[in-house]
Amino acid sequence: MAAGGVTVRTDLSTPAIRIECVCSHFGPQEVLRDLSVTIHRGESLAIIGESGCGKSVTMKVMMQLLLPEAGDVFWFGRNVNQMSKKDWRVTRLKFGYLFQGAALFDSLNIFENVAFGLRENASMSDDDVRHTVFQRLEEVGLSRDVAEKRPSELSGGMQKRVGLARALALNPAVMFYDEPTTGLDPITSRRIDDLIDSIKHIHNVSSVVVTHDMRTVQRVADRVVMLAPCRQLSPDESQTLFEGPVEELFSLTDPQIADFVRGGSLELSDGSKIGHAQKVA
Amino acid sequence: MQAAAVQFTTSVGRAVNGLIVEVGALALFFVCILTRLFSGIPRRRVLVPILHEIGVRSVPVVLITGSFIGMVLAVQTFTQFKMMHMESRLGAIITMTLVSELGPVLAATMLAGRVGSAMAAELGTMRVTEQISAVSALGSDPVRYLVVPRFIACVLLVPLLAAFGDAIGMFSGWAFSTRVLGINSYQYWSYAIDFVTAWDIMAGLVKSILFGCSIAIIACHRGFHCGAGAQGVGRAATESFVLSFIAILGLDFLLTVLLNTSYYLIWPQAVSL
Repeated sequence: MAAGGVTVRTDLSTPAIRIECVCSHFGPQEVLRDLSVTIHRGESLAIIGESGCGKSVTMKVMMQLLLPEAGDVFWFGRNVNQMSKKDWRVTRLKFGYLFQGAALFDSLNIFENVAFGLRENASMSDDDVRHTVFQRLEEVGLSRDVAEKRPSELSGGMQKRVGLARALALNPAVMFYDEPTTGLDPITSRRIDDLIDSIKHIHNVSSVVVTHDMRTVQRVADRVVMLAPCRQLSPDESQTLFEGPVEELFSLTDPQIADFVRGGSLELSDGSKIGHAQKVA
Repeated sequence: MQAAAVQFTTSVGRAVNGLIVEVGALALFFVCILTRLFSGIPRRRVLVPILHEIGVRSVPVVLITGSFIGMVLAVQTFTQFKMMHMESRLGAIITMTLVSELGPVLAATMLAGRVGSAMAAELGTMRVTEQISAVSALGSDPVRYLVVPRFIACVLLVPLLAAFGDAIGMFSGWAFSTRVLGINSYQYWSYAIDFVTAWDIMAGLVKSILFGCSIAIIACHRGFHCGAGAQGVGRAATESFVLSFIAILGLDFLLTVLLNTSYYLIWPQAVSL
């Protein structure tokens, strides 16, 4: 896979991303403790856990939006600390990130938001940029009419879709979703989940989803990592409470995990409940 | 007594330490801007809206400030000069004061309030809503994309706006002096031209450029490192103005001393302090 003249490894058995023994602090507060997570190519990994357990930080460390105090990050089998600056920059363009609040640029309209990555990184003609932007907007279910609007003129769900279109514009190999359905109604949440799932299949991307919504976990994830907040751990305890297939998570009887999984169902606003034996079709 | 002395020393030490850290952080941020600046000029579509926001939209503020300052200078100096029968030289004092001192300082202060606070609040909001992280996630360097254009705009436009303010002040001073105070128009401009030298214009220009630099660095640094939430953004905007104002006054003093010393070194026959 060549990107901007830099070769990215094509060995499909190499994980897309691997973090090893990562530690991170915010001031005196320990956020990540010796955390190791692997994302295989083509898989969807959900990261769940209580608020403040470091889910979003884990994802930001994976994408190097935050630098850990200790530990290693590997992109397509290569340690990021040993990459050249150019290599690092080009490889990171293989990652797309959907922020929790979409993080659309207020000063730009929707077209310019989606075109941002293309204009900054790809030497494309204006026609090609235009074509790609409208294609991505269509893929996320938005019409061309929204292109001239400002982010503030769109609903939360539409902003998330624009954020998704913007992240997809550069054809990422890995997509990161930071609480993609938080603050959305059940119908819009379902649409976003379906989009995440279809993007995975259409673009053959690996996905990392940070969420509290257990329904999203069931709809989009192949594997789950559950984290515990460091403040609740004794010095010798691991931060990873669970790592394995989704089905296994929902069949666990460990009270801490089962409570979280059931509690997660309470967040759903359509009244349905998902216990560790129930699954959403 | 001893405890009070220890407490006093501790607080002084903490304040000095904080000041050194702050100045160091600003210096590092400036170096960071310079390295990006020399590796490429921002794109036109990014730079032009910022030039418009900082330059064109500041014109009314500078125009109003310049007009009143020119007239106030005329009123204040007229009585004093009249007592010495030197009121015909009003043009000289108004022009000198505006070009070398009041023009740059007042234009920079107005811009620190209007532009600096707005930049800090805008970048702070971008930080809080993760838009700065989004710039980075989309493969662009946030300092290059967000800070460098604002830095260029401030460095270019603060001197221009200061010059504009000077011109407006001179004309408003002229209008008030000739129409209300009865000063001869020819004498006003004649003394103005005679007294103001190229050195004074250069001094005003140098001051304005450095004021522009400091406004951009402080405002962008505060916005970039803004605390969480609306309170963090508000604090960033306020701190931006206060620090810029202090920096403008401090720089003004240092530059005045430095430029005066340089002047008398170059022309020793001139009357020194």
